[in-house]
Amino acid sequence: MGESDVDQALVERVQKGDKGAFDLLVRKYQHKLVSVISRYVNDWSECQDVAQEAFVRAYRAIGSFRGDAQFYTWIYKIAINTAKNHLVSQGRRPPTEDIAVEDAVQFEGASRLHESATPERELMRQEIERTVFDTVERLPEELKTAITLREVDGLSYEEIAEAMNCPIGTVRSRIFRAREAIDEQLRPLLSEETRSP
Amino acid sequence: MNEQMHEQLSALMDGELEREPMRFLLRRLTDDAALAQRWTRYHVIRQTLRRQEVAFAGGFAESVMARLEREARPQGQVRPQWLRLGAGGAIAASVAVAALMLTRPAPEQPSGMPLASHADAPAPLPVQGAPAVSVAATRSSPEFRAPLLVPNAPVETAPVSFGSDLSQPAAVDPRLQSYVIRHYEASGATAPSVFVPYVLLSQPQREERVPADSPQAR
Repeated sequence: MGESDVDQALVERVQKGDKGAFDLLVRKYQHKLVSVISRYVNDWSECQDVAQEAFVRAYRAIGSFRGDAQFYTWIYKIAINTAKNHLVSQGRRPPTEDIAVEDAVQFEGASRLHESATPERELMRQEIERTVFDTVERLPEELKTAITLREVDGLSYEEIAEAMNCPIGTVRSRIFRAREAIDEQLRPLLSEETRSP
Repeated sequence: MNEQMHEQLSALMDGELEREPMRFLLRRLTDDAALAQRWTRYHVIRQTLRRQEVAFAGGFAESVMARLEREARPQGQVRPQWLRLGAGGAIAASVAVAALMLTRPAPEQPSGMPLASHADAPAPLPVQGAPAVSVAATRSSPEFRAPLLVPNAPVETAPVSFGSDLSQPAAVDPRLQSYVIRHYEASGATAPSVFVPYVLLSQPQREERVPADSPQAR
């Protein structure tokens, strides 16, 4: 099992008419899609609109997704096309070269988005970042190492177990406890964010 | 129980959950708003730790889902086979009816005789040599089907081909017409809009349009 298997399982549920499964895909990929679209559209709120449109288009076309490519690669292309169409409809010229999907998430266009976001949103973003890193710093060493190896270095549970010389079950538990500790600090912030327009 | 589920959720987003628990959890996730919120927050944590953009806008997913509620179902979603067969059958029947109407030669009518008013006309004399068939005998025949429309109801007609004489109304068999109407009504609820409505070239005249001095009004 891998992350792409989870996506595939969710896609299959959507294809059977389960809209809730698509909601989970939106929640998972909204950040990445906004980040990709920010390459083409600088304004924060415009970027959000285009991202929404891209998800709607993806939903309409999801019946044709057969799993030959990864879901993210597929929706990434939809996002790019939606962003380009948006620019053309606004009488603007889209860039001639696309960024590769593997580079897309690392793209620094986010900083341009920060400039066009409202001060409140920018403050919120900084607050989220500070909360997450501060909490990680305060975690017990074994939790901190496990979550860092997973999220920053991208190791699998098996690789982490080998690196930390412990069973996979322990790795799974440590990563979960680290996430729970961060989530506990983050929850009040994000529930506030959810209420904001 | 909850903690176990949250730990499974954590493993799920890492792609480290076995197939069966994954299926169970996905079902649960789509129905449990609190669990879905946790899924969102876990991804915010991931984005932040990876120093990737956190474009968390309040209600982003909710806005997308609200838009989808107003949208039709996804294209390409497989329709039930019975519906596809039904729609296909309706289309085929429509084509057959249209072809029948357009190619059927008009029965010879005395010039100026109004269509579908045979009851008012004198009964045709039996053709010499041909067996005389009474109306009663015809009705007792198993092949006889009573038309849905009254055969002598006055109808408006329209030419059915470009080559026809516009001054001459096209003849339409009332039984055929009633079949078309019946078919259209039956297929209207399920089949996609096709050209069946346009096949209805003649319609019964309404009562109020009948001149006061016409025989029908009396």
